[in-house]
Amino acid sequence: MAAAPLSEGPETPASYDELLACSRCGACLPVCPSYSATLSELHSPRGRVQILRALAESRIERSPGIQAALDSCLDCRACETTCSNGVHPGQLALAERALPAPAPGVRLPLARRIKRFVLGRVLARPGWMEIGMAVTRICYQETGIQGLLRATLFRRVPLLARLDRYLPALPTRSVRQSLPEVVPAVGEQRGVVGLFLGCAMNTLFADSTRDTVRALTLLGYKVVIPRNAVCCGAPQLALGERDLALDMARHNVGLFPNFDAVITDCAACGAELKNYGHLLGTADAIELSARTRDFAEFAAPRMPAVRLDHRSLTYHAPCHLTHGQRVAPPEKLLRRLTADFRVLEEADRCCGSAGVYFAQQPAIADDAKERKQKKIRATGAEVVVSANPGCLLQLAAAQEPGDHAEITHISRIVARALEGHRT
Amino acid sequence: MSAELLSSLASVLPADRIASDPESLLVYGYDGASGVTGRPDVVVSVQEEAEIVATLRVAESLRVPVFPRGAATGLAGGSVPSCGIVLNLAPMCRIIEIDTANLMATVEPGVINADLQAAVEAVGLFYPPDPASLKQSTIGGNVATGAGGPRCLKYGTTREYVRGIRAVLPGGQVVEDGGKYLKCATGYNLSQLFVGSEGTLGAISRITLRLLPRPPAVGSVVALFASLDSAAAMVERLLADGILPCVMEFMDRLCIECVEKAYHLGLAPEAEALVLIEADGTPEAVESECRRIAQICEEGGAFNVRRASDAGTRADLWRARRAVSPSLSRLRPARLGEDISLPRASIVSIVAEIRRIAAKHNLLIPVFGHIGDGNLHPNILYDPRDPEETRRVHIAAEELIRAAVAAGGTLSGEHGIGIAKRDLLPLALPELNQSLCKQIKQVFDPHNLMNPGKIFP
Repeated sequence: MAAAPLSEGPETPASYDELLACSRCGACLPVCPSYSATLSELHSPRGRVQILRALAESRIERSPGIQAALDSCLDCRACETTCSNGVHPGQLALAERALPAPAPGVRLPLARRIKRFVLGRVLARPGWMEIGMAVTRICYQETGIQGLLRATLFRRVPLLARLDRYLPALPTRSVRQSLPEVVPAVGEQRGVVGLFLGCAMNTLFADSTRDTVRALTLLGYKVVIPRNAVCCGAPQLALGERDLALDMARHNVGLFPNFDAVITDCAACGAELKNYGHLLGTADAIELSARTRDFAEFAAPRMPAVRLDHRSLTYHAPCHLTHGQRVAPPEKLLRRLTADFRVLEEADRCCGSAGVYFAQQPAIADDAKERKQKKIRATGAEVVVSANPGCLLQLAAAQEPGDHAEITHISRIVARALEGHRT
Repeated sequence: MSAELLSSLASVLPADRIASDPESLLVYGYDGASGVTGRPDVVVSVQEEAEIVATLRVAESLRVPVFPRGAATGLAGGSVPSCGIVLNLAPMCRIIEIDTANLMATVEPGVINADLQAAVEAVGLFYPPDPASLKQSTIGGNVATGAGGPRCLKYGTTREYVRGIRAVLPGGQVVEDGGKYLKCATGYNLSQLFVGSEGTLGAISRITLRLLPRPPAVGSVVALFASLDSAAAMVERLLADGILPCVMEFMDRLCIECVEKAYHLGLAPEAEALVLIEADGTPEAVESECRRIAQICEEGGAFNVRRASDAGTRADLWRARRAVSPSLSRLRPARLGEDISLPRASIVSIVAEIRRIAAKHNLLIPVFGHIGDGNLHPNILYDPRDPEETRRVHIAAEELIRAAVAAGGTLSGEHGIGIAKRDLLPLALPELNQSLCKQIKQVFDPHNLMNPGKIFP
């Protein structure tokens, strides 16, 4: 199903009128992964909106049960595309998840201090993440410790086993370590774009982002990659640390002046960059949000007539593109790249990755993952294309013995097609 | 009382079936009807019939009311609890059998209508009832409310498809009636008695439904009219011409504006009426019928006639049509959704009467519905924070129902009475009829434990 042609884009939520606008029709129930997995009204968009309304009207008090209902939201925003009344249950739940920012001088519990250290410090330092990646690759993946732990510790600690299962083969160099800050256009220059390097794309999926840059240059764009960009702020918001998200946004906003467009190849980063205007409300933030484009959104109308693949392709639409940014799947582009494009049923339904949700809420995440994998199998496609690092990890983890489809980022096939076109 | 109820339930049900935390009691206290909410003492989410039996036994021994619930998408408050036990049947959602030899499906009550449609269509069959809520409403709820939908014009409501019922009666007895046969003249038809009973007789645990072969093609025509009269005249002409479309839907100017705000389909806001007509059957028949329908619309003064046979355009039109009801909240936060059913020929006069009532009480009353079968949904819009406006709404609603009954119609065509229309029931149902119905309920439910406070004032 294509994205609904609703007029409203993402909005800053939380007016009481918006809560009243929910007619309780239940149209959001069947599109919600947490409702589908639990069949519990508590874990539905309608239920969450009614809880928020009751909180606003002081008919109910905050409780662990309410926190659980808010936390079970995957933030996939499918409910928002479906709602005919312009209610944003996902964003309302997300806003309500925000924890109070720590007051000066007050010592936080250890768990939250660790969380804030990771979200606020580590994710603000791409260099630390690159070191972490190298250490993990050399000391863990390449020494045999991985195999040893799989046979021992992981059998007892399911969370670690789960994280291990999602860990892809790590590249030897990050994007920052392998590309200069300015990459010139190939041939005649058509313009200059900024590239926002997401945490996961810079490290785990560096090969894909190198292809993003390659494709952009082949399309005639000079690509500027600010090396000091930090995490977009989406994980901080999802985990309730709103003040840290604002820090990230403020830092990033200053790094992208005067580009024709600011490109990202991560759907989650793109949704967040497009949200900066609402988040910060400043002129430069609004400007950055307006100029942000997802890679495929930018590339599709600029692609020459090329054909690449003799193989069958299907496309999984990341929530943060389809619902978060209301960007329609690049089906026309993919149909030009292959003669055998296979439509994925429920392509715009969340795969269950949802940031760190896959680790926090394994039951609901796995329900979504298995539903997705069934639909993927039904296409019989040899290549599954997507556009978000979380989705790529989840689609790979979803594969069982007998599943052989290649999971790939759209940049990789677009770059390959453009290279072929050139030679 | 509540503690005894909880401990009794806990002794016969797995712990995860029972919830009594404040947030559960909140979210199981509403349905799709605006302005009607309640709060149960406990929510029991059942996975199988035996758990319904266990729950109803406890309920009877402690004399606690039971409020059966599917997906809580009803528009009359039929599943809204006032106390006692919410019996949540949504988790009972297995399609037990699709019998392709006998064209019958057997399902649990929590199966979603659209899921059943998809499952039977995958084997070349067809389940016609299609309430606007079909993607989220349950078959059990459809049966309990006698749900209809656009395709009723040709195919009839849920009632026409119910061939057998299993239900748990108060106290836990299980009654089974009907079966996979089409004809039945063997005594009173108890299965049909459960259709539209709104959970007041027992809890439905299994339903056998008739299926049809799937029509191979469907085509749509959308026409805009400058007046309702010309739209209604076109409907008469069409039927007189020997065409029975499967769908004839209508929305007035206010509805068109709301839908346009949500979906930007390019519908002319100056139109007074939009009519959506569909024909199904063999591709050749659909093609020629749609051509004839478009021609009759044009001859009847339609100023914008569009045909849609591709799935994408049809999907857009249906999204818009199904969004009408919820999208009315864009105008005012609450609404009293009426569901009057009338002889088709009264439509023009009743819409004129609705306009008069709206003007008299200074209220917004958009009208949409099923112009082909005479079932209209005037929605009286209001803001519950405005007590004066809320008061006028109830006066207007009564006048509207009186007008519908005077025109030979009735109070509800496909939503049911629930709480929202309960107090108006006497306007539509004579004393004797009410009394007979109540006596029937008394036989099934002597202690008045099943969904008390619904239907009857």
